[in-house]
Amino acid sequence: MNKLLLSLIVILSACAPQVVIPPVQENELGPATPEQIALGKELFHDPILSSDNQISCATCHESGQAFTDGQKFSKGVEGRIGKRNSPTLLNVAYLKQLNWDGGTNSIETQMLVPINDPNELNSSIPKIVNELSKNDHYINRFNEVWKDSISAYTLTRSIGAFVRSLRSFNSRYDKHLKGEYEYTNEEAVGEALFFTSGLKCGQCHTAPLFTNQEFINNGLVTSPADSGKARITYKREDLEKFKVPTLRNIALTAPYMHDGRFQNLEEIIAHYSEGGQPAMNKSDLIQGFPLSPFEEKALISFLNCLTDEEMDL
Amino acid sequence: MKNVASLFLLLTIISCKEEKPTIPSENETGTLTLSIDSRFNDLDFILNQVYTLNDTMSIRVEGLKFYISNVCANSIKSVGLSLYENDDDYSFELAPGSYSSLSFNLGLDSIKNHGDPSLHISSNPLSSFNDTHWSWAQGYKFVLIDGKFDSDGDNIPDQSFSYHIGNDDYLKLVELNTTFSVLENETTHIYLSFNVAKTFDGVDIKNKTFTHSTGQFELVEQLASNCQSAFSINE
Repeated sequence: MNKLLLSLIVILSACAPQVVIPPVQENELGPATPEQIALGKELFHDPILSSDNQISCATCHESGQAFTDGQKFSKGVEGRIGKRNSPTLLNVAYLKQLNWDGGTNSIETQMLVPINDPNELNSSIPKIVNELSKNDHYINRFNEVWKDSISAYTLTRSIGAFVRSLRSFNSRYDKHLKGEYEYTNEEAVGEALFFTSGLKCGQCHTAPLFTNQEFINNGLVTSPADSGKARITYKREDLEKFKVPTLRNIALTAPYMHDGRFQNLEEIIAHYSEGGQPAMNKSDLIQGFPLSPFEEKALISFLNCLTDEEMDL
Repeated sequence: MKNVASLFLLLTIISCKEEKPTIPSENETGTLTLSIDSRFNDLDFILNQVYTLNDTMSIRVEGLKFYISNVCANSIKSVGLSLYENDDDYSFELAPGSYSSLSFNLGLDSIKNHGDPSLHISSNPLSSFNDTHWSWAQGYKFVLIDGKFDSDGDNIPDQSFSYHIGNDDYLKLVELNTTFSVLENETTHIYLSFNVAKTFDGVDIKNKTFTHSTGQFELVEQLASNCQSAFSINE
């Protein structure tokens, strides 16, 4: 790409209007109280939720790794291996559908999936409620926070309160938008490439969430076979389609894709640059593109700008 | 099967037309109670008891559950839904009147099907405590039939089968012709049979031992249709 065009793109991109953060997908209670969030945080980190009392939500969603676990597939109870890569929980408060296949539509219903999955927590709501109800500490904590007993409702609303509180909008990208950070030339070129060039990254990874919340096949032939969204819809046209993941904090969330097949950002860029694999429902956006070594470096620099380095979790 | 009469079934899903307010005020409701008696053809059905299917195969049903919802008399919709787990009375609030037909959904409509089970207390048919919810698909199992069949001809059920029917596409409407009246603040009983043997009609159990409605859709449809037609009125 010639330098004049790139410069023009950088200028245009700097003039782009600031994006508005969409509304949080609240539950019927509306915004949670600090006490509810604190109880949820405690439960999130407590292995009492798993059948062998060894695995907690935090096992696969570690705060230091943007609430992922760095594994291709997460390990559940008794070392059992899951079937999909553990996604970040940051900003899931804004998502309308959850899981890689969109099978659930709220944080409260999503958490039932890992709770019930034999390869994850291998438990159930009745078992957990029963377990917690024998624990004086939790009996008191639920009573303090909810003025109510431990139930499916108070349990899921507590954990939901914590997960919904995990928000991240303080990256260098955000600071740049607010005029608090000036991009390096490399980062500016990277942003321009991301949003306005023929690379089309920003068409699916739209700001401010860096996901358009759609389900596409991005040129991946699944192996082992994974029907993706078709697991929920049973539609042929949804086969091997997965939720577009957020790219916020992407530098912290390797390995990548629903199956953790890519180890680093270079591998991802190579995949898109080559036009992906000939998957049956591949998006028309995945066409491949030429990219110079400088441009690749610039793109990665910009992606690193999406890391929130000031999260206090 | 006991005194079957006036059986009329439709294979399409039709919601009740709401000709009157869906939720009548307290002073204008009566109770419609469906007393469900499960049968295995001419025999009383008892969970975990061995029966002979089609005079050839020993079978033992170890689990049977199904949802009954959207109960309508003529086109008047009642209030409430039930999860059948054993022969019992399942009651619904209904506006008083004289009626000539009864219908209900075998399963849950799309809104209820994709709701949040944790919103319900443990005694509610839709709560997580009933083990009828698929968390990964955020939907309910409309019908569960689990058990064992005799795979080697020794008349001892030894191999498991598991049929869980769900998904909006397999919601079935059961329609039965019967005449009854509901009086204000009184209970009207309608006695229904559910023929468990009929749920296996045309099903090759030996070769199709499992579906949780994520594949083998012809089998799912067959099972759902069988269950739909397994109901009849006990006069």
